[in-house]
Amino acid sequence: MRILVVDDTLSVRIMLASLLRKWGHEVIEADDGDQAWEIIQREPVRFVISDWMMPGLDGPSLCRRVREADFEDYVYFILLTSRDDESDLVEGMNSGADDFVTKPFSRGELEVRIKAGARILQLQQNLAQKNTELSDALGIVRRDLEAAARTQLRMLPANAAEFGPTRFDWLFSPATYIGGDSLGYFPVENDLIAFYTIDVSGHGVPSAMISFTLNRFITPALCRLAVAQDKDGRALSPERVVECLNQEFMDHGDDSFYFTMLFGLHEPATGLTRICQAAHPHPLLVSRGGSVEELGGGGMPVALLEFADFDSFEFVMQPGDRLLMYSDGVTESISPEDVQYGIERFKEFLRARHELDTPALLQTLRGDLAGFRGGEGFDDDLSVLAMQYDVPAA
Amino acid sequence: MKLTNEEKRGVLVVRVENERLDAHIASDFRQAMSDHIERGHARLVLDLVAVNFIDSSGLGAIVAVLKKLGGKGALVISGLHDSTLAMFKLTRMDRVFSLYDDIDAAVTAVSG
Repeated sequence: MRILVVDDTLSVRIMLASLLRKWGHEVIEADDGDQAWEIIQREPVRFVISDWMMPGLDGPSLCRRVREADFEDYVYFILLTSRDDESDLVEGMNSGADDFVTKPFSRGELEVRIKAGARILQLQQNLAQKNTELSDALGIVRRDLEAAARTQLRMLPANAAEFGPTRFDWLFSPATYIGGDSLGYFPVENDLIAFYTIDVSGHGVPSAMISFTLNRFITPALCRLAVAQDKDGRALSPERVVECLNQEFMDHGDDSFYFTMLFGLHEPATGLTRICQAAHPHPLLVSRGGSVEELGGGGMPVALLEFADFDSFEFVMQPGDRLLMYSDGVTESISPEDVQYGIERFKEFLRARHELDTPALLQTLRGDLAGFRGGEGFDDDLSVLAMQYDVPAA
Repeated sequence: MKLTNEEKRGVLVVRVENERLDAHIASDFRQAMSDHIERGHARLVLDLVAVNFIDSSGLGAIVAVLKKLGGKGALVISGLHDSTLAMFKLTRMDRVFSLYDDIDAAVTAVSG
């Protein structure tokens, strides 16, 4: 170990230095505090044994300067005192010294005190190394999560997508980088659009992985399960798609795993819409005049119970109607006073802001929720899918 | 998490004392209920009169307990409020679990 010995008395310095060298240490010597300070700034020194009384910068002042400099590596500091005076001890400790050796010192005592110091430096170094490893690992995890978050966003369909008179907009905000919410829409066949919103129980990476899988699984081909053609025309049964997902994802998690979803089919030509509600919050129908109605009669979650059965309900969208499908992260947002945002506040918000166009409505909602929560960070994933029928001319 | 247990006429009544049965306690709750089942309790009443909010994790945990019973025995629920009942209705769990207004009615139904 490299040890800096600071003493203005040559005889003491020589004696100390030769002892330390005999014990196998590398010794640097300084005549006084000022010279020691120059050395410490110039080269790596992690162990200092310094006399107390010296012309110019004395021992405690040197120690204080070292502490204030806050070097990256800890410097272990032993002060030599000539007497066991309590006020000296207090001053020495206040200056940040680690240990004290009273002069004249015994060789045995000095040796064990240096060993104690070396142990502490070793521990400190181990800790610093662990810290570096941890922060490196954390950096990797964070970069991976950020990349995953970008992938998740890219999987979502284009915002402001139009299918004839029908337009979709969405708001998506995972609680951590990535989350278990998902949504989508696409044409299934001529004049038929499928749309869905999903909330996988839990959040973070495990939920996101299921959510990714689901997104890939729900394809136009799967959605054709919900369409039957006969001589009377087209019959829509979106629950058949949800039944299929229920079987397919039954064993994808532990016994408490499930997801909630709305899966719907919509005919742009007629406004006819049929939705299977699987434990997802009731969609809200906001009319052009600003009335807000909760739709649906509930339904079981998906992938929780093998015997679950699903049904669907139908309605016809009127020009200017907007259907808002949201995850419970919206209504279960909590204020700092522990109050829930709640469905009534959400409906009131929609009534009050119904004249906003959909993108502005969703951004305002996000701001309103952040204001209510007292910050941008959300505890739960948050997603809203808005389907607007007969887009008013700009 | 705080649960209080009481045996009535051979039925184990477990009352959740927390106001929220949510992600923070769902896993502990599930474990504690599993322990009861492993110790041989097969007829259980879950009293939720003190609970005013159940989130998706809480609901998942309750269903996991039901699955743990594996069709042998019974798990019924008492003491739901309007808010928690709404959650059961939204998810149709009111068709999966028998619901009772209070513990006595639940115990009578299960003690058989």
